[in-house]
Amino acid sequence: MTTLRLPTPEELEPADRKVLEDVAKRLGVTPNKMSMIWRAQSHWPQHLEANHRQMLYSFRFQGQIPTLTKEAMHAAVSMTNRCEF
Amino acid sequence: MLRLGVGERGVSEILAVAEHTAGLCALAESLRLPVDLPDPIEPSGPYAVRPVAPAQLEGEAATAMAEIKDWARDGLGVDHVPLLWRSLAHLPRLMASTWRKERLVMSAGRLDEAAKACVAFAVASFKQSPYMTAYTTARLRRSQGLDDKAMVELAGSVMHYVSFNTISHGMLLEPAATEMRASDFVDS
Repeated sequence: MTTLRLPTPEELEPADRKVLEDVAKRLGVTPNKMSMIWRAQSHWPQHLEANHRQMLYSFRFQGQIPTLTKEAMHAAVSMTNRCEF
Repeated sequence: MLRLGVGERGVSEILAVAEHTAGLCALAESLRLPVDLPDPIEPSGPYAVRPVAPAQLEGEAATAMAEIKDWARDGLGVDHVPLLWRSLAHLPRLMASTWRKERLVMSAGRLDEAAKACVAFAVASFKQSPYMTAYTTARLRRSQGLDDKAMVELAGSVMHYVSFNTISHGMLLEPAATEMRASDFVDS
């Protein structure tokens, strides 16, 4: 069980729902099909959008570091941080 | 990681780099090691652990210390043996066995050396260890030739991991799957 329940898009204010739907579209899914890590941020879609944008320009940035290496770093930090998710 | 095809051995390599680096972070902080990269510096203060001179070592420990000195020249770009290893040498067998583990864990396997060096940097940064962050940065700069932009790309990625770990902790998110096997991810 999560700390806060995960809201459905229909529960959100129209402006918030629009932000949520835009991010979901960029992720290639519908809001209800987003990964839990994104749905967990959907009470405040502007925060979700800020994190999505930050991710695009860091973890997902196609720079000099290969994707596999970044995934390995992510796994290592999560292991060290006892992050079960 | 399994989906990306590194297999259970590859995930085990990531875990090995993570635990090894986390352990070295704890060691460096336990001994309060000052950062001696790139310039050598000796510990000071009444309670500092004084490093062992390489000439005092014999046998396997002397061999390991000579290997570290050779490696540090290319791997870290320095002509001295880092304090981490000279301090550990008070227990010569511990120093030698830790060096053997370092070579095993950080050498290319399912993941190449560059990827493992990035993983070690990520863990040292996350653990906020000044010594090991400097050590792993020197390794990336020297042996992998990373420039400023690449270093920021790495640091920015670590920032993202910590942010999302915090969200998953705060929301008590449960993993989507448990007891995963590589075979679960083979394309059918």
